[in-house]
Amino acid sequence: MIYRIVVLIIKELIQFFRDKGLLLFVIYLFTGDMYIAANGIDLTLKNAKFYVIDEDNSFLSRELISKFQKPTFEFSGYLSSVSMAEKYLFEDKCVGIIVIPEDFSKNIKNKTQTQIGIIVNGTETSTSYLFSGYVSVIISKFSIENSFNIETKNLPIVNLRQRILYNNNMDSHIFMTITELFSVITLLILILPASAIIKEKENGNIEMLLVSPVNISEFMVAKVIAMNIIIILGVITTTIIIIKGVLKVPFNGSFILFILLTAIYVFTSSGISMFIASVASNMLQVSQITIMLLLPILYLSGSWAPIESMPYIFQKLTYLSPLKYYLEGSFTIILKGLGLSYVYKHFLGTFILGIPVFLAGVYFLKKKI
Amino acid sequence: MLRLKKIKAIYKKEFKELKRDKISRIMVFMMPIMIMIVFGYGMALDVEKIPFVILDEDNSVLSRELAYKFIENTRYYRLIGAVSSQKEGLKLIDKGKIRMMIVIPYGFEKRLKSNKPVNVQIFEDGIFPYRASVSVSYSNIIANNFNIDLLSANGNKNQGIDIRTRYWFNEDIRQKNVTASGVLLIALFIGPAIFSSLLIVKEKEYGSIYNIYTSSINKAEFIIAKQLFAMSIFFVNFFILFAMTILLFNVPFKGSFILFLLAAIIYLLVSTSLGILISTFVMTQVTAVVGTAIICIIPSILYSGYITPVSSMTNEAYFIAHIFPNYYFFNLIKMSYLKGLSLISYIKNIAILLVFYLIFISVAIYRFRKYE
Repeated sequence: MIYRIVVLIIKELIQFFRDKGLLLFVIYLFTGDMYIAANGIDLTLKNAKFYVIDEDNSFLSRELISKFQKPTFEFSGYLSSVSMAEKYLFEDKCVGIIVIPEDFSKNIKNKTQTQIGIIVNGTETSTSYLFSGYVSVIISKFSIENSFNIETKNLPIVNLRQRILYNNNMDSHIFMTITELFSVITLLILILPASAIIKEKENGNIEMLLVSPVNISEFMVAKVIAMNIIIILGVITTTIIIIKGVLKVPFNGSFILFILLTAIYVFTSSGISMFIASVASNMLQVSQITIMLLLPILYLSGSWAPIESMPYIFQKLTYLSPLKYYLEGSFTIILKGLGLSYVYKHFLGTFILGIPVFLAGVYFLKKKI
Repeated sequence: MLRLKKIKAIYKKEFKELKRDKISRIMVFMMPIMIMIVFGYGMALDVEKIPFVILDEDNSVLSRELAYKFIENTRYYRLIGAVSSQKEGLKLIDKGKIRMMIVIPYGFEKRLKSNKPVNVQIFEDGIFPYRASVSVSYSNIIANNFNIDLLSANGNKNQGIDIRTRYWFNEDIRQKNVTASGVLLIALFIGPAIFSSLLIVKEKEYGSIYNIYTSSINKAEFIIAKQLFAMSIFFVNFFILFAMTILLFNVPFKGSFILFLLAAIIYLLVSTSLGILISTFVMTQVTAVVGTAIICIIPSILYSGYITPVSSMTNEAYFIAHIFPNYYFFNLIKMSYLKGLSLISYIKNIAILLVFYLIFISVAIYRFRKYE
């Protein structure tokens, strides 16, 4: 029996490597895609372009503008009127515009209240939020410094010293790369086994199997294991070559532990794929059901938005996403560098949620065939 | 020359096939609804209720006052409790129970009273950098307000600067306005592309494409019939999605519906012809699905301006954003829903989308072979 399974696994692997197009895309997913995700997007505030309408045009107003520095901000120039500002915001040329009124420096010197306007482009989701926050902080700091004729160093005020744990520079590349890897793994584990099974159905090979000595469970197990091997190999190479090598993401924890968690996640999640294969009868259905299941799994894992800011019902639903346990466990291993005594819960979560999913997948598929 | 009769025949065949397919005929309409619900509700990028603990070594009136400033800000922060040592707090962060720890040092009040500045240490969980950076800016604002109160209480008269922030196009900064209307960008791109590429590749994989090879239909007719079929499915989906943005998510709509409909149709032409173009490169359906998803997801979500503004992208990313059609359609979406219409800008974006369509469809027709 073991021999038969091994032969079937080898057959599946050969078949996989024969489909050059698919092979190319899978290789791309584990390499180029990771690189693009790491470099394309930054959810923290970076190079936020802004213009200034400076009606005061004084030393103080220029000094205020000089406080907005790279890499967070990028000063793009002065505008002469609000109608210009409107045009620039309409064309999305900048994130925001700072308006300094005529008597700005006079008011500051006389210690009377003065106003500064910030116009933020409200169509830039997260960035507009961060932009107004950061700008307010800089302006109120500036206000404290300039309203008292004492040096800030000697003022009796509270200075915050922020230390960002596990990721000192708040570098979003690390986060993006790792979550992208998880999305890729999840996409492939949902679609590859299902499509391998559907292909046999479509080609009518299933009937042939029924009359052969191979039993259906062996056949399915072989397919699942073959796809698991491919994905785990992909994860190992990406982690070593792309994540550690090219992108230089610090890998603090145990590599073996991470691969072990990956293996459990991948193996148990293939149950979902078998379920898809049992429901679907052609590839169009497979692709649609996969997307229907993939999106909630990704979202509920917390890889897009932090779990604590989700609506209450969604927060509870996150426990149903197998990716949640895998994601949290892996971050604990990779970035926090903690050992089994911290991540055993995530192992258990992946396992306890995964086993019924896997068994249900096998059950449904067997019943269907 | 395109013969309408032939196109109609293929169209009818596809229609019958979908009608017969019990699962797909529901799924094609369910999928966009699902995407809308997950993204519309899910892409909430407002960071709220950050769980935190306080380590108050000073335990004085002023230190409690500062702590209270954080506690009373219940929209952004949620107090889990007090800890008695840094080690205890760091362990909680390690376990993922809390995201932030504030350490108010011993001698806090004494230093302030003797007119000296004092440092307060904050530990942030940096796993999710966006959350960390929002939290950093919130805590800075809180500390600044505390400082201003402190200075004015000490008799330093100061009126300070009054900051007036206005959010244009989205006055009450409802993120859902953008995230929900932006779903049109994703759902009308990925879905149609996968669907139309499968329409062609399935015939290749089943071998029924040989019927086409030997028939009198020419390749342009065949491709256009398939495209029209995919278009009509997602044309219906457009209305469903549009209704959801208005009725379910209450996104304001400032533009003209007719013009927006036209823009959506052109966008669908682009996405379906991209799907068909991809189908000319692949032989199996699984490759078509995986390949199309890869090619479509990255530009429509990451490089369209949906998540980060195109204006603040670095040179390389800025360039990539401009060579995909999604950025232009997102301009049209923002214009129609939130900004109000500008005819010049509308025509410019539509024209660029049309160029994409013409390139995709002509390369697809050129590459499609009526023999092997």
